[in-house]
Amino acid sequence: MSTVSIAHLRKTYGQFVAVDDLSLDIPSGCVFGLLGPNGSGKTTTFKCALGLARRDAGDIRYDNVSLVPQTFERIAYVPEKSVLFEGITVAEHMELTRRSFARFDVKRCAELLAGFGIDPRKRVRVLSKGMKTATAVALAFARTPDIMILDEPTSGLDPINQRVVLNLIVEASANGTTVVFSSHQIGQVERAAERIAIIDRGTLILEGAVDDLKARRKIVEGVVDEHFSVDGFAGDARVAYVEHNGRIIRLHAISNADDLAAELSARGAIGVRVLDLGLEDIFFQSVSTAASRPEA
Amino acid sequence: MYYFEWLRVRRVFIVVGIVLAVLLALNVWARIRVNETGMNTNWSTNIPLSERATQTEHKLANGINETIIDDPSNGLHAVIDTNPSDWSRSIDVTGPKNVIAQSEVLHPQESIIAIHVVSQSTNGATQHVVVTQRIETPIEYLFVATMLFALITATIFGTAFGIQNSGHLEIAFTVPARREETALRLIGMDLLGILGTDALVIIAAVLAVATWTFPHLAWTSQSLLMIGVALLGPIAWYAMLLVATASLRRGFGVAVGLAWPVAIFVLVMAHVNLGTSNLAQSIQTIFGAINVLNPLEHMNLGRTDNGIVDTTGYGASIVWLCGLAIAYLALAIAQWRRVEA
Repeated sequence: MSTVSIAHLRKTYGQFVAVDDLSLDIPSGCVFGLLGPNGSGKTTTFKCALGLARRDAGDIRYDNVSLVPQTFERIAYVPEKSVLFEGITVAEHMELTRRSFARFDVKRCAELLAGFGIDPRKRVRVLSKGMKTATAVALAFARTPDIMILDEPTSGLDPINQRVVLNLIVEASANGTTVVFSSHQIGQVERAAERIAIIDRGTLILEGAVDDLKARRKIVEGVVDEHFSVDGFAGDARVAYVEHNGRIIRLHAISNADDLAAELSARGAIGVRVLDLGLEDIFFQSVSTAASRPEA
Repeated sequence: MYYFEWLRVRRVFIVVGIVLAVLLALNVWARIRVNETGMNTNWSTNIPLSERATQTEHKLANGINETIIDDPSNGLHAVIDTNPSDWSRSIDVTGPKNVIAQSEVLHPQESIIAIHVVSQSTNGATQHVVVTQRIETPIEYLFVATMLFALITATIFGTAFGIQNSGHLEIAFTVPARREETALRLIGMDLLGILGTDALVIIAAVLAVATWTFPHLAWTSQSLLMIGVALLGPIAWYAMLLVATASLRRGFGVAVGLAWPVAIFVLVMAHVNLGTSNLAQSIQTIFGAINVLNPLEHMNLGRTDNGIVDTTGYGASIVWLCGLAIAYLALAIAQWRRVEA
């Protein structure tokens, strides 16, 4: 059982701020999805969390203890891009991992590889992008770690193997492993993650339990006349932002959606209804709101 | 991580093994050709003989090939016993002192022929000498031969950190070991590769010698020093390349390749006579100073001072090579541990 704690993380590359004052608390046994557009700082966050990139500020703790080499016995990391050695075979990668980690289960790894349809005798060079991802995933899961950090773990995989990876994540979590993963496939995150964080331009813009976020965030939609003014809603703290296309108005509510619906009806809107949001909508809502912020 | 490096080492061993096998096969072919063309592989004693001299050869019961030379004109009688099992021979020669003195019985020209005088007596102008001779290979010769191979493998292994930097640090730096420890394990494996190459080449060299003569390996006074230089030279070279590539993500292969011409250029510029002008002297001084850090400078295996082996020079070379190797390795580790993935 592990808790990953990231506090006030900041990482810059020259003038570019990759991550800025990012704080996350990931409870033990949780599947935690980290979402964000390309270049939002997800991979940098992972690298800083693993000490692969030096942070400018902030603190990273695993079970309240700073990262030390021995911690890696308990952490498995699958990077976004393949880091496997092209010139050696999958079996040699298994041996390399076995020699590095005491808890590596060769039999389990062989089973996982077989499940993905990968021949361990093959050199990594001849594997497709998806197969390389699957190999990295198999090597990571066979270590039976306490914490898994997976950066795009389904990248390049076909839908069937994507499902296999998601099942592995859920199964690992059920066995007490803390899984932090990023994915551009929001549907996958919605399926597997209990909690999510959305970051954009290196800053945390939303964090919480998926169910809570979905319960709080709604769209209040109605039909209004051409002269309807959105002014009253645009600055409302309960509204993330307002979409107004012709006669359709959509209020992206972050709280009290029912009250907003009543107010919208009172101001003459017809056909007012409250719509549930999927995680994808929440993501777009959050990122759109963040994009409207001025650059730091 | 060291397992990956072991796989590299193993691959290098296989390649070196194949190259040595080919060279050995060529050597065996040459040996067979020499036998076929009837070249005499027995060594001559260069005893001056007259036209009346007779030479008879026969095999003794114990397998020794005995050659008896009688030269009544010179009053010389020689019995040469050659042992076919180890190619050593015993020469029992009686004759005029001046004739024996002209021969190579006592003073063979080949430095690899060792002679041991068993007895020597003089009776007037007649001398009776019994010597044993055998071809000996000074052991350091083998290490000199191996240095070239070791330098090539050291050059290959010099990219060890560069390879990790080129997209594999996520593996190297997420193992439960300190980065210094990981680096030392990689280096240890590479050193095993370099020294293993030395061993393979020495074995091949001994086999090559054995196809021509019995490989008597001789230990001389300077052997240890020369072996030290031959072993440490490639290690210092490897360490220097490691420093040059420890923080490179790409282009490390080019850097390692360029190291050769650059090091040779610096070596030449430090020693060639650039002239007596102030500018030339200044340039020479600068190159001389840089060259001190060049492992090639300290790999001279022909150090003599008026024909005498310069043991002090070898000792200094060993100290320099040791110092450079340690300093370069420490620098390389310090650099690599700070590389970001």
